[in-house]
Amino acid sequence: MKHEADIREPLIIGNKSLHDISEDIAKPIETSANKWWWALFIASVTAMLWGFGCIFYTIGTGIGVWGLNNTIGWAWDITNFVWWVGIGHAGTLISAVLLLFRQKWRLSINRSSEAMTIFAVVQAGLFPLIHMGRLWVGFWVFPLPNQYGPLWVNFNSPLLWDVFAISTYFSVSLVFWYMGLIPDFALIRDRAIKPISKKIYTILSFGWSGRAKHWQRHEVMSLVLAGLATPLVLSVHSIVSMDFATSVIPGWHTTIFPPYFVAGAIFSGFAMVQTLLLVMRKVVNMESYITIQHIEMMNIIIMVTGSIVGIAYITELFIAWYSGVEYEQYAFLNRATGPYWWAYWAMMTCNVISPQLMWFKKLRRNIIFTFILSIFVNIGMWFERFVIIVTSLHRDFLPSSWSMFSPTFVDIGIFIGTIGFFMVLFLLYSRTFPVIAQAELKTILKSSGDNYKKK
Amino acid sequence: MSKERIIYGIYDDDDIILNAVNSIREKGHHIEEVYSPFPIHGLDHALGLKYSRLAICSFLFGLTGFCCALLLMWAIMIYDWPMNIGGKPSFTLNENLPAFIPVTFEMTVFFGAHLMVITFLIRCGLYPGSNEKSPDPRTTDDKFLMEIHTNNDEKNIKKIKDLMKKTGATEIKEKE
Amino acid sequence: MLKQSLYLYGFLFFLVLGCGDSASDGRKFTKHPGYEYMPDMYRSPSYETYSENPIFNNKSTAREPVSGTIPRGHMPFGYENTLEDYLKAGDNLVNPLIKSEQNIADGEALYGMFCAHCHGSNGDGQGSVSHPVYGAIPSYNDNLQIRRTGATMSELKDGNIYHAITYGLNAMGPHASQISPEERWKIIMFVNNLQKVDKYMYIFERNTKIICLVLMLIGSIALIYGFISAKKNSYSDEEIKKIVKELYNENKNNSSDDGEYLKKTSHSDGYKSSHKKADDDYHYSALFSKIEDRFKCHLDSDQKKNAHNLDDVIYVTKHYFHTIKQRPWSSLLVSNLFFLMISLAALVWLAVQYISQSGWSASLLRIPQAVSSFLPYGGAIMLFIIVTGAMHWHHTYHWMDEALTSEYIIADTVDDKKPIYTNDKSQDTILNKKYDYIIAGKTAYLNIPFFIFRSLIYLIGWCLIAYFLRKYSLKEDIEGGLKWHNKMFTLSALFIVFAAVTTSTGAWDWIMSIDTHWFSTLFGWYSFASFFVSSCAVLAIITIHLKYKGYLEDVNANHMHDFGRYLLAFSIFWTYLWFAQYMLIWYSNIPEEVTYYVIRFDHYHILIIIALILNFVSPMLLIQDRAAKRLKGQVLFVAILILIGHYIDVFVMIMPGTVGTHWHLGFVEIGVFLGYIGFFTYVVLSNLGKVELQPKNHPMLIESKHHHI
Repeated sequence: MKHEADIREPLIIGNKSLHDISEDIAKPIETSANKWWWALFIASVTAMLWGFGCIFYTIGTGIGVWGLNNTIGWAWDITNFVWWVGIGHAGTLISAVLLLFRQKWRLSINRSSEAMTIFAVVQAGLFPLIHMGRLWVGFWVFPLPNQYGPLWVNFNSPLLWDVFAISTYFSVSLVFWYMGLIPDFALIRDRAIKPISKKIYTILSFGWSGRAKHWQRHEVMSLVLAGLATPLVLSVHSIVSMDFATSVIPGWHTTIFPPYFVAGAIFSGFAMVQTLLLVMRKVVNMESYITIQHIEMMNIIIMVTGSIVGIAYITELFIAWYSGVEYEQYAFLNRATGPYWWAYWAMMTCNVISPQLMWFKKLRRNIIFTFILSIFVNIGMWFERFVIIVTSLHRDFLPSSWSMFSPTFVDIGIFIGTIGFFMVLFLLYSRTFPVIAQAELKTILKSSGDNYKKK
Repeated sequence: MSKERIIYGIYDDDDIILNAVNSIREKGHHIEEVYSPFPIHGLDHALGLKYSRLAICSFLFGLTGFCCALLLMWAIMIYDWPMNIGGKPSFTLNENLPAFIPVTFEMTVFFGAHLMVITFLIRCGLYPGSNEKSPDPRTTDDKFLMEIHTNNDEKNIKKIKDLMKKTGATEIKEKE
Repeated sequence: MLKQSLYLYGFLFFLVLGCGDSASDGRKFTKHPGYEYMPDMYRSPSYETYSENPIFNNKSTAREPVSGTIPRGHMPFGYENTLEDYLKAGDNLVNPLIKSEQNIADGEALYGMFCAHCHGSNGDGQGSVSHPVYGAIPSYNDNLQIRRTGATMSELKDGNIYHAITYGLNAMGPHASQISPEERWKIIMFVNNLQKVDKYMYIFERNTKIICLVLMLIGSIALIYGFISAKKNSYSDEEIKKIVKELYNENKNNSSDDGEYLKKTSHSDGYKSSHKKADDDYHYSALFSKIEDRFKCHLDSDQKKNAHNLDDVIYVTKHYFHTIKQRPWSSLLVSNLFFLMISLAALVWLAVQYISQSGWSASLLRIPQAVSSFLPYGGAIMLFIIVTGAMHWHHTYHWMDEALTSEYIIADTVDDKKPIYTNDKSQDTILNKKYDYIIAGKTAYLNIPFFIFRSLIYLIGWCLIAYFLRKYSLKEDIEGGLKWHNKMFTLSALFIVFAAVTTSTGAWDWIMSIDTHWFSTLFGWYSFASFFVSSCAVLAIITIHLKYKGYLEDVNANHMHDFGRYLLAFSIFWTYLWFAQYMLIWYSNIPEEVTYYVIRFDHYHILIIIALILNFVSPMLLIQDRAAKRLKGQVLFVAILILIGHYIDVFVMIMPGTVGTHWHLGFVEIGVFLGYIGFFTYVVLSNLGKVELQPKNHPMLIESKHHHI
């Protein structure tokens, strides 16, 4: 690991020593927040509370308060669900898949993107819960014998696969994230001066002391978890895609959904990572660790996955024509030229065309451009799910029931509420958790630190 | 006086302590433990630690999950309460298998991951509220600590201390 | 004074006396020989050199030289013919001659006289006397470890060689009597030159070449056999029509009832009677069994059930013979496509290494370059298959048949051998019964000129990029610097875009269009995953081969680990895509899509199961473990299994659409596959031998060399 080619750019800049890394990473935790943080936090809490209000209203009154109708039985709820789950893919991808390709730049960003994963999956998990309508019988999704009220769950249904997939993904990601955090909590614990924070971080760090044998086991465990998480991350969004590939419109499906949803998820996940980290690196002074090089790498991934998604869109269109099946052809024709044409073209513009700008190195390394583009991608990916769900549903085989969808304030409120909730969690995280996996990062200091590379 | 004495040598650099471990072990001293802020590549070899069998555990746990999942779905969907839903064949496990694969996979991963993590925590004695710490708090920051246990033999202790000094220790302490 | 002179003279007197006597031999003057005063051992008993001698202990007259005596011009060789002394000689002896051009030239001449007939004129052990199998004469510049010294042939020391010339070694006899020591040293001086190998230069050995050629021969025989046997078993459409009509009439005459007829025949045939119940279910069962008897064939039971009139019966029979004709073509297509796409996937692999800035593979990049050198060969044969298809030599791509895509037929030509089809309705035309509106709907994409044009674009594009990536890499070797590396990075990025489109469209064109009705959006990605993992397997196999031969110093268990990872990860990925496509089609159960899997699961299930075991279960169990991934043998084994498994996968992609239910995995298919293995290996390995095995100025070589996981 010590030998690194000269042409690689340093991943840690600013002439850091091991101790500097500890200092920099412990700093946000040990100091108090500035007013920008508080402003953002209050705004987020407000949005969150509004969202919670809407959720309570929904549960108390029923799903009728949403804009759903007979034809369009799924709309913003599932759109939001898939959007959040998709966003929640980048963290595991960075930790696990990039490990396979041995990309060292993942080390500066894996902690935050895993945190983002978990917070995003929390948001995603809310939607299936609330769109069940009667939350108090939510335990029906678990396999319980018929005597409890419901029948046994139906393992032929992709919705049930989803229950297993999302809960496995959430819990495994959480554990993966937390196991990586233990050594970093130990650092905070050993530096803590205030007895209360000492106490808290002692509990959080599980009594980690950095013994050689523990490190050995920890490394093996991380590797195996990464190995398990790689197919897991693929499976989760594949199963989510099967919700649509098998059951949005009976008789309509396309086989490319699983891998293309995965690519889309990575795409949107990286976009969200960009959005958050571009702000965070400024606010908590992590510019030395999240360098332009990191941003460029993420932009390349966004470009690649965006292109994959684009190819998948075009493949779908082409194969729909090629199939010679009238319904298949209509489904896609209607997407592009039907009443929801604007959603389709918003998706195309944001997801396929805009990432192509990343072919220019100048733009890839431009922070403001990157930030704007990442927002675009987030919007585009939301529309992708909207197109798949609402546009598919609004015209099915029975023209008399064709219909349109318009969201109510509750739909919008819940969506904004989840964004607020997500931001609240992330903001709290950024002040209480070590935002960079410092233990792992220290291992590459000698090979990728600028002060060492110059020598 | 056969009381055991404990000597700590603190090092500044991972490569230096790795070499130190090698040369001290060559001289025949047993190194009780090394505390480091991050994993050092090759240290387990140098200390003569056995390889970890966690991966094998995980494989077995995963296998358990795989079997559990299939058993569960067979019991529910085939044995106890077959349902004709969407025309999917529900007479034998084999016929219905494609629909069972996703859940089987998830359960395999679920068991493999969680049980392995629990095994890891138990084997390392890590739990919330544990008060265990390294002998020097700086070892979670940027220092590397080597711990050697020895009998109460001044000559031997001096030898070890000299060795530590020679191999690049910046600080040498003894546990009171 | 007086006294002194008296003595002197007295002495002289005696001296003269004595001389005078000896000068005048008494015999001349007297009858008696006289007395010899001091005979001076003139008459000593004569002991000849080699005669017996009673005096010495060993009874031999000739004396041995004093111990340690060295004759002039002779250097002693103080080593025995033992392994111990062989090794000692290697350690101690040095060449006494001065290295000069004259000496080396002498050595070369001597080598030509005494050694070349076995060792080969260039020292590769392939001399005219040597035998490819039994000889096993090692090459001087081999990097293989030899048992005797533990070193490799190229590290063999002068002393070892001297010892070997003097005493012989293994099958080689001693040459001490023919070759003088000085000559031996001269020969050694020349052999030293032969030993000096570039460890970076791969030598495509004759043995391997012969194996490749033998495999190619088997392949050609299999293909020719396939064509001949297909020809022998075939009947022209007219013949079939005639015979079937005859049988139909005969059948009618013989019995008024089909069932009656069936009973009659079924008694004589045990096989049929056991299947009687099932056969009873369809019309014309009797006619069909007659046809099967007459043509010695087994028609597809589904098709038999769906035959409702005589035309259908004729069609079913014709269809059978069409698929028989298809067999050699299909086996050629399966093998060619498999290896063509493997070489393309190797190019993708190469490009991925550049764009992901992988360091570990920097010293291995020649291997994917060599694999992609197969592209023009495979591409040419692919074009051949396409063009012959367009000429209707075969019906692999049956949408090429005008009869399917034209709505009308000119009435006068209906009974002609080649009816004229048209899409324009006029008074002369009648409806074409064979018209297939789904296929006709695809003609905008699936038509012969556009198809050939696309194929050309793909193949030319791939070949050009392979050529340039190779060229740039070689330029980098010479010039160094980052210029060529950056160029390769850009070209790789562009290629990935090109490949992302063309691998999908290529798979639609060359594979998916065989099942013309069927469509799947995932198909391009799924099939490419199959080729990509096969390509990883091929790269691993070649790397291990080179490693076994002693090349690639810098490649170690860590690189094996990476190959193992690639194999495992992409095997899982392939399985994932296979399952995603299969499950979604199974789940939706839509008629136009599910037919694809119905025929496969009804008739090819055994192959599907084998493929899944080889492609998924075997890597999961065999190279899951870290230690297993680091073993060359294990990775090799799994790579071979995966390669076989994916051949079967491609087989199942293509065969159901071409030969239908009458598939074989017999001499023709396996023979052609073996032939392609030989062909592919020959092309790739000879390309590998053309330039140095390791790129020289790749900026990440250092990472590859110190790669450690």
